[in-house]
Amino acid sequence: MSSVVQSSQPLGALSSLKGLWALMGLSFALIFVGIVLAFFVAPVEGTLGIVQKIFYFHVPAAFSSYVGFVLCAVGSVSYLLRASRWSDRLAQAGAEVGVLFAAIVLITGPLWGYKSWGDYWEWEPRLTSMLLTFLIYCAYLLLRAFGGEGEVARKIGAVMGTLGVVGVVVVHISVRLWGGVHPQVMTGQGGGLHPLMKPAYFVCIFGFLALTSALIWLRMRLGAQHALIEDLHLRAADVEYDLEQP
Amino acid sequence: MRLLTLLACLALLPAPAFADEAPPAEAPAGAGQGATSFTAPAPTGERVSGLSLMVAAYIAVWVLLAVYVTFLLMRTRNLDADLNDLRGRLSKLEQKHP
Repeated sequence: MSSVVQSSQPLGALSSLKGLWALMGLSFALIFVGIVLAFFVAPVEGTLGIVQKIFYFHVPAAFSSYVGFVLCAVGSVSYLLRASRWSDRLAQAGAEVGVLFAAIVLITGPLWGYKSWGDYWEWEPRLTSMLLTFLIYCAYLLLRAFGGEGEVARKIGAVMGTLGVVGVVVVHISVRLWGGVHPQVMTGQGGGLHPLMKPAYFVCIFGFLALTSALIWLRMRLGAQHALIEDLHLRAADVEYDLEQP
Repeated sequence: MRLLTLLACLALLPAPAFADEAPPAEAPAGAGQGATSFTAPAPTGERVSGLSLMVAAYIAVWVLLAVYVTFLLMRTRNLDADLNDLRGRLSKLEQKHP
Protein backbone atom coordinates (compact mmCIF):
# COMPACT_ATOMS: atom_id res chain seq x y z
CA MET A 1 0.00 0.00 0.00
CA SER A 2 2.66 2.53 0.99
CA SER A 3 4.57 1.64 -2.13
CA VAL A 4 1.64 2.87 -4.17
CA VAL A 5 1.82 6.34 -2.65
CA GLN A 6 5.57 6.54 -2.57
CA SER A 7 6.10 5.34 -6.09
CA SER A 8 3.35 7.43 -7.57
CA GLN A 9 5.67 9.82 -9.41
CA PRO A 10 6.39 7.95 -12.64
CA LEU A 11 6.61 11.15 -14.65
CA GLY A 12 10.33 10.60 -14.77
CA ALA A 13 12.29 13.31 -16.58
CA LEU A 14 9.02 15.02 -17.48
CA SER A 15 8.25 15.83 -13.84
CA SER A 16 10.78 18.67 -13.60
CA LEU A 17 8.82 21.90 -13.82
CA LYS A 18 12.00 23.97 -13.38
CA GLY A 19 13.48 22.59 -16.58
CA LEU A 20 10.20 23.19 -18.38
CA TRP A 21 9.98 26.82 -17.22
CA ALA A 22 13.62 27.36 -18.17
CA LEU A 23 13.01 26.04 -21.68
CA MET A 24 9.83 28.05 -22.10
CA GLY A 25 11.52 31.20 -20.79
CA LEU A 26 14.43 30.65 -23.17
CA SER A 27 12.07 30.19 -26.10
CA PHE A 28 10.10 33.38 -25.41
CA ALA A 29 13.34 35.32 -24.84
CA LEU A 30 14.67 34.10 -28.20
CA ILE A 31 11.43 34.97 -29.98
CA PHE A 32 11.46 38.43 -28.39
CA VAL A 33 15.06 38.99 -29.52
CA GLY A 34 14.07 37.70 -32.96
CA ILE A 35 11.22 40.24 -33.17
CA VAL A 36 13.54 43.06 -32.12
CA LEU A 37 16.06 42.00 -34.79
CA ALA A 38 13.30 41.67 -37.38
CA PHE A 39 12.02 45.19 -36.81
CA PHE A 40 15.19 47.11 -35.92
CA VAL A 41 18.01 45.31 -37.76
CA ALA A 42 16.51 43.50 -40.76
CA PRO A 43 15.67 45.87 -43.63
CA VAL A 44 12.15 46.29 -44.97
CA GLU A 45 11.80 44.11 -48.06
CA GLY A 46 11.83 46.10 -51.29
CA THR A 47 8.87 44.58 -53.14
CA LEU A 48 6.42 43.51 -50.44
CA GLY A 49 7.23 46.12 -47.81
CA ILE A 50 6.40 45.71 -44.12
CA VAL A 51 4.16 42.66 -44.63
CA GLN A 52 7.28 40.57 -45.30
CA LYS A 53 7.95 40.72 -41.52
CA ILE A 54 5.38 37.89 -41.28
CA PHE A 55 8.15 35.71 -42.72
CA TYR A 56 9.97 35.68 -39.33
CA PHE A 57 6.98 33.84 -37.77
CA HIS A 58 5.59 32.02 -40.75
CA VAL A 59 8.66 29.95 -41.68
CA PRO A 60 9.69 29.04 -38.08
CA ALA A 61 6.09 28.00 -37.39
CA ALA A 62 6.24 25.77 -40.48
CA PHE A 63 9.42 24.10 -39.20
CA SER A 64 7.80 23.66 -35.78
CA SER A 65 4.81 21.97 -37.37
CA TYR A 66 7.19 19.63 -39.23
CA VAL A 67 8.87 18.76 -35.91
CA GLY A 68 5.50 18.08 -34.27
CA PHE A 69 4.24 15.87 -37.10
CA VAL A 70 7.53 13.96 -37.40
CA LEU A 71 7.53 13.32 -33.62
CA CYS A 72 3.95 12.10 -33.95
CA ALA A 73 5.11 9.65 -36.63
CA VAL A 74 8.10 8.53 -34.53
CA GLY A 75 5.86 7.96 -31.51
CA SER A 76 3.29 6.17 -33.66
CA VAL A 77 5.85 3.78 -35.21
CA SER A 78 7.31 3.14 -31.78
CA TYR A 79 3.82 2.44 -30.41
CA LEU A 80 3.08 -0.01 -33.21
CA LEU A 81 6.34 -1.84 -32.46
CA ARG A 82 6.36 -1.81 -28.66
CA ALA A 83 2.90 -0.59 -27.56
CA SER A 84 4.31 1.63 -24.83
CA ARG A 85 2.21 4.42 -23.31
CA TRP A 86 5.19 6.79 -23.52
CA SER A 87 5.28 6.43 -27.32
CA ASP A 88 1.55 7.04 -27.53
CA ARG A 89 1.88 10.19 -25.44
CA LEU A 90 4.72 11.42 -27.67
CA ALA A 91 2.57 10.84 -30.77
CA GLN A 92 -0.38 12.71 -29.29
CA ALA A 93 1.75 15.60 -28.07
CA GLY A 94 3.52 15.86 -31.44
CA ALA A 95 0.24 15.91 -33.37
CA GLU A 96 -1.33 18.51 -31.11
CA VAL A 97 1.65 20.87 -31.21
CA GLY A 98 2.09 20.25 -34.95
CA VAL A 99 -1.54 21.19 -35.59
CA LEU A 100 -1.13 24.35 -33.49
CA PHE A 101 1.85 25.53 -35.54
CA ALA A 102 0.28 24.42 -38.83
CA ALA A 103 -2.74 26.58 -37.93
CA ILE A 104 -0.35 29.50 -37.41
CA VAL A 105 1.18 28.79 -40.84
CA LEU A 106 -2.24 28.59 -42.50
CA ILE A 107 -3.38 31.85 -40.91
CA THR A 108 -0.23 33.94 -41.42
CA GLY A 109 0.46 32.62 -44.95
CA PRO A 110 -2.78 33.89 -46.53
CA LEU A 111 -2.33 37.29 -44.85
CA TRP A 112 1.09 37.55 -46.47
CA GLY A 113 -0.23 36.03 -49.71
CA TYR A 114 -2.93 38.69 -49.99
CA LYS A 115 -0.21 41.29 -50.49
CA SER A 116 1.87 39.06 -52.80
CA TRP A 117 -0.83 37.49 -54.95
CA GLY A 118 -3.79 39.79 -54.44
CA ASP A 119 -5.82 36.95 -52.93
CA TYR A 120 -5.86 35.14 -49.59
CA TRP A 121 -5.70 31.65 -51.03
CA GLU A 122 -4.38 29.97 -54.15
CA TRP A 123 -4.99 26.27 -54.80
CA GLU A 124 -1.33 25.70 -55.56
CA PRO A 125 0.82 22.71 -54.49
CA ARG A 126 2.37 23.93 -51.25
CA LEU A 127 -0.71 25.58 -49.80
CA THR A 128 -2.95 22.70 -50.75
CA SER A 129 -0.58 20.02 -49.42
CA MET A 130 -0.13 21.97 -46.16
CA LEU A 131 -3.90 22.23 -45.74
CA LEU A 132 -4.32 18.49 -46.39
CA THR A 133 -1.57 17.58 -43.91
CA PHE A 134 -3.18 19.86 -41.34
CA LEU A 135 -6.56 18.16 -41.90
CA ILE A 136 -4.99 14.67 -41.60
CA TYR A 137 -3.60 15.53 -38.18
CA CYS A 138 -6.87 17.26 -37.17
CA ALA A 139 -8.56 13.95 -37.99
CA TYR A 140 -5.94 12.15 -35.87
CA LEU A 141 -6.69 14.44 -32.90
CA LEU A 142 -10.43 13.99 -33.33
CA LEU A 143 -9.95 10.22 -33.38
CA ARG A 144 -7.87 10.34 -30.22
CA ALA A 145 -10.29 12.72 -28.49
CA PHE A 146 -13.49 10.85 -29.34
CA GLY A 147 -12.30 7.31 -30.18
CA GLY A 148 -11.98 6.23 -26.56
CA GLU A 149 -8.97 4.96 -24.64
CA GLY A 150 -8.99 1.48 -26.08
CA GLU A 151 -6.17 -0.35 -27.78
CA VAL A 152 -7.96 -0.31 -31.16
CA ALA A 153 -8.29 3.49 -31.20
CA ARG A 154 -4.64 3.83 -30.23
CA LYS A 155 -3.52 1.50 -33.01
CA ILE A 156 -5.68 3.17 -35.67
CA GLY A 157 -4.32 6.51 -34.46
CA ALA A 158 -0.77 5.19 -34.67
CA VAL A 159 -1.29 4.07 -38.28
CA MET A 160 -2.79 7.45 -39.12
CA GLY A 161 0.06 9.29 -37.39
CA THR A 162 2.61 7.21 -39.29
CA LEU A 163 1.02 7.67 -42.72
CA GLY A 164 0.35 11.35 -42.11
CA VAL A 165 4.06 12.12 -42.18
CA VAL A 166 4.00 11.54 -45.94
CA GLY A 167 2.13 14.85 -46.06
CA VAL A 168 5.09 16.60 -44.42
CA VAL A 169 7.43 15.26 -47.09
CA VAL A 170 5.02 16.34 -49.85
CA VAL A 171 4.71 19.83 -48.34
CA HIS A 172 8.47 20.18 -48.19
CA ILE A 173 9.23 19.08 -51.73
CA SER A 174 6.08 20.42 -53.41
CA VAL A 175 7.65 23.71 -54.51
CA ARG A 176 10.63 21.95 -56.09
CA LEU A 177 8.51 19.29 -57.79
CA TRP A 178 5.51 21.26 -59.01
CA GLY A 179 6.41 24.94 -58.72
CA GLY A 180 3.47 27.16 -57.85
CA VAL A 181 3.23 30.71 -56.59
CA HIS A 182 4.74 30.06 -53.16
CA PRO A 183 8.07 31.90 -52.64
CA GLN A 184 11.21 29.77 -52.96
CA VAL A 185 13.59 31.92 -50.93
CA MET A 186 14.54 29.12 -48.51
CA THR A 187 14.56 26.26 -51.03
CA GLY A 188 17.71 27.28 -52.88
CA GLN A 189 15.94 28.49 -55.99
CA GLY A 190 15.33 32.07 -54.93
CA GLY A 191 17.76 34.89 -54.36
CA GLY A 192 18.30 33.92 -50.71
CA LEU A 193 18.04 36.10 -47.66
CA HIS A 194 19.60 39.54 -47.26
CA PRO A 195 22.53 39.19 -44.78
CA LEU A 196 20.82 41.54 -42.32
CA MET A 197 17.67 39.37 -42.36
CA LYS A 198 19.53 36.22 -41.37
CA PRO A 199 20.08 36.94 -37.63
CA ALA A 200 16.37 37.61 -37.05
CA TYR A 201 15.41 34.56 -39.09
CA PHE A 202 17.73 32.12 -37.31
CA VAL A 203 16.97 33.48 -33.82
CA CYS A 204 13.25 33.07 -34.54
CA ILE A 205 13.85 29.53 -35.83
CA PHE A 206 15.68 28.56 -32.61
CA GLY A 207 13.05 30.32 -30.49
CA PHE A 208 10.20 28.46 -32.16
CA LEU A 209 12.01 25.12 -31.94
CA ALA A 210 12.63 25.70 -28.21
CA LEU A 211 8.95 26.60 -27.77
CA THR A 212 7.94 23.47 -29.66
CA SER A 213 10.09 21.34 -27.34
CA ALA A 214 8.63 23.03 -24.25
CA LEU A 215 5.04 22.55 -25.45
CA ILE A 216 5.62 18.89 -26.31
CA TRP A 217 7.22 18.40 -22.89
CA LEU A 218 4.26 20.07 -21.16
CA ARG A 219 1.73 18.09 -23.21
CA MET A 220 3.48 14.79 -22.48
CA ARG A 221 3.63 15.67 -18.79
CA LEU A 222 -0.11 16.28 -18.91
CA GLY A 223 -0.66 12.86 -20.49
CA ALA A 224 1.53 11.18 -17.88
CA GLN A 225 -0.32 12.95 -15.05
CA HIS A 226 -3.65 11.85 -16.47
CA ALA A 227 -2.51 8.21 -16.72
CA LEU A 228 -1.13 8.32 -13.18
CA ILE A 229 -4.39 9.69 -11.78
CA GLU A 230 -6.39 6.95 -13.51
CA ASP A 231 -4.01 4.37 -12.09
CA LEU A 232 -4.26 5.76 -8.54
CA HIS A 233 -8.07 5.94 -8.76
CA LEU A 234 -8.18 2.24 -9.65
CA ARG A 235 -5.83 1.31 -6.82
CA ALA A 236 -7.73 3.42 -4.30
CA ALA A 237 -10.98 1.77 -5.38
CA ASP A 238 -9.38 -1.66 -4.94
CA VAL A 239 -8.19 -0.84 -1.43
CA GLU A 240 -11.56 0.63 -0.44
CA TYR A 241 -13.27 -2.50 -1.73
CA ASP A 242 -10.92 -4.64 0.37
CA LEU A 243 -11.66 -2.55 3.46
CA GLU A 244 -15.40 -2.95 3.00
CA GLN A 245 -15.13 -6.73 2.99
CA PRO A 246 -15.92 -8.29 6.40
CA MET B 1 -9.74 18.97 -24.15
CA ARG B 2 -12.23 17.24 -26.46
CA LEU B 3 -14.29 20.38 -26.77
CA LEU B 4 -11.22 22.50 -27.51
CA THR B 5 -10.06 20.09 -30.21
CA LEU B 6 -13.51 19.95 -31.79
CA LEU B 7 -13.98 23.72 -31.73
CA ALA B 8 -10.51 24.38 -33.14
CA CYS B 9 -11.04 21.93 -35.99
CA LEU B 10 -14.52 23.16 -36.80
CA ALA B 11 -13.41 26.78 -36.73
CA LEU B 12 -10.55 26.21 -39.14
CA LEU B 13 -12.17 23.82 -41.60
CA PRO B 14 -14.24 26.30 -43.63
CA ALA B 15 -11.41 28.85 -43.96
CA PRO B 16 -10.43 27.99 -47.57
CA ALA B 17 -14.06 28.25 -48.65
CA PHE B 18 -13.81 31.98 -48.16
CA ALA B 19 -10.62 32.25 -50.17
CA ASP B 20 -12.25 33.04 -53.51
CA GLU B 21 -14.90 35.26 -52.04
CA ALA B 22 -14.88 38.75 -53.49
CA PRO B 23 -13.98 41.42 -50.92
CA PRO B 24 -17.01 43.26 -49.61
CA ALA B 25 -17.66 46.52 -51.36
CA GLU B 26 -17.06 49.53 -49.18
CA ALA B 27 -20.11 51.51 -48.24
CA PRO B 28 -20.15 54.88 -49.98
CA ALA B 29 -19.73 58.02 -47.94
CA GLY B 30 -23.00 59.20 -46.54
CA ALA B 31 -24.63 55.79 -46.93
CA GLY B 32 -27.90 55.53 -45.11
CA GLN B 33 -28.45 59.27 -45.15
CA GLY B 34 -29.83 59.57 -48.68
CA ALA B 35 -27.53 60.43 -51.60
CA THR B 36 -27.22 64.06 -52.55
CA SER B 37 -24.89 63.57 -55.54
CA PHE B 38 -23.19 60.88 -57.61
CA THR B 39 -19.41 60.91 -57.85
CA ALA B 40 -16.83 58.43 -59.18
CA PRO B 41 -14.95 56.55 -56.42
CA ALA B 42 -11.38 57.68 -55.84
CA PRO B 43 -8.72 55.11 -56.83
CA THR B 44 -7.66 53.34 -53.64
CA GLY B 45 -4.64 51.30 -54.81
CA GLU B 46 -4.60 48.39 -52.36
CA ARG B 47 -7.61 47.25 -50.40
CA VAL B 48 -5.79 46.29 -47.17
CA SER B 49 -2.50 47.84 -46.12
CA GLY B 50 0.57 45.69 -45.51
CA LEU B 51 0.80 47.02 -41.96
CA SER B 52 -2.73 45.86 -41.17
CA LEU B 53 -1.98 42.40 -42.58
CA MET B 54 1.22 42.15 -40.57
CA VAL B 55 -0.45 43.28 -37.33
CA ALA B 56 -3.29 40.80 -37.92
CA ALA B 57 -0.78 37.97 -38.44
CA TYR B 58 1.17 38.83 -35.28
CA ILE B 59 -2.02 39.08 -33.23
CA ALA B 60 -3.20 35.70 -34.55
CA VAL B 61 0.11 34.06 -33.65
CA TRP B 62 0.18 35.39 -30.11
CA VAL B 63 -3.50 34.73 -29.44
CA LEU B 64 -3.20 31.10 -30.61
CA LEU B 65 -0.04 30.51 -28.56
CA ALA B 66 -1.48 32.22 -25.48
CA VAL B 67 -4.73 30.22 -25.63
CA TYR B 68 -2.90 26.90 -26.01
CA VAL B 69 -0.27 27.57 -23.31
CA THR B 70 -2.94 28.84 -20.89
CA PHE B 71 -5.07 25.77 -21.56
CA LEU B 72 -2.12 23.41 -20.91
CA LEU B 73 -1.08 25.23 -17.73
CA MET B 74 -4.62 25.29 -16.31
CA ARG B 75 -5.05 21.60 -17.06
CA THR B 76 -1.68 20.80 -15.47
CA ARG B 77 -2.61 22.75 -12.34
CA ASN B 78 -5.96 20.96 -12.05
CA LEU B 79 -4.35 17.55 -12.51
CA ASP B 80 -1.67 18.41 -9.91
CA ALA B 81 -4.47 19.25 -7.44
CA ASP B 82 -6.26 15.96 -8.27
CA LEU B 83 -3.02 14.07 -7.80
CA ASN B 84 -2.42 15.60 -4.37
CA ASP B 85 -6.00 14.78 -3.30
CA LEU B 86 -5.56 11.18 -4.41
CA ARG B 87 -2.26 10.83 -2.59
CA GLY B 88 -3.91 12.16 0.58
CA ARG B 89 -6.78 9.70 0.18
CA LEU B 90 -4.39 6.82 -0.33
CA SER B 91 -2.34 7.82 2.73
CA LYS B 92 -5.51 7.79 4.87
CA LEU B 93 -6.42 4.37 3.51
CA GLU B 94 -2.91 3.20 4.27
CA GLN B 95 -3.35 4.25 7.94
CA LYS B 96 -6.64 2.33 8.13
CA HIS B 97 -5.26 -0.76 6.42
CA PRO B 98 -1.50 -0.94 6.99
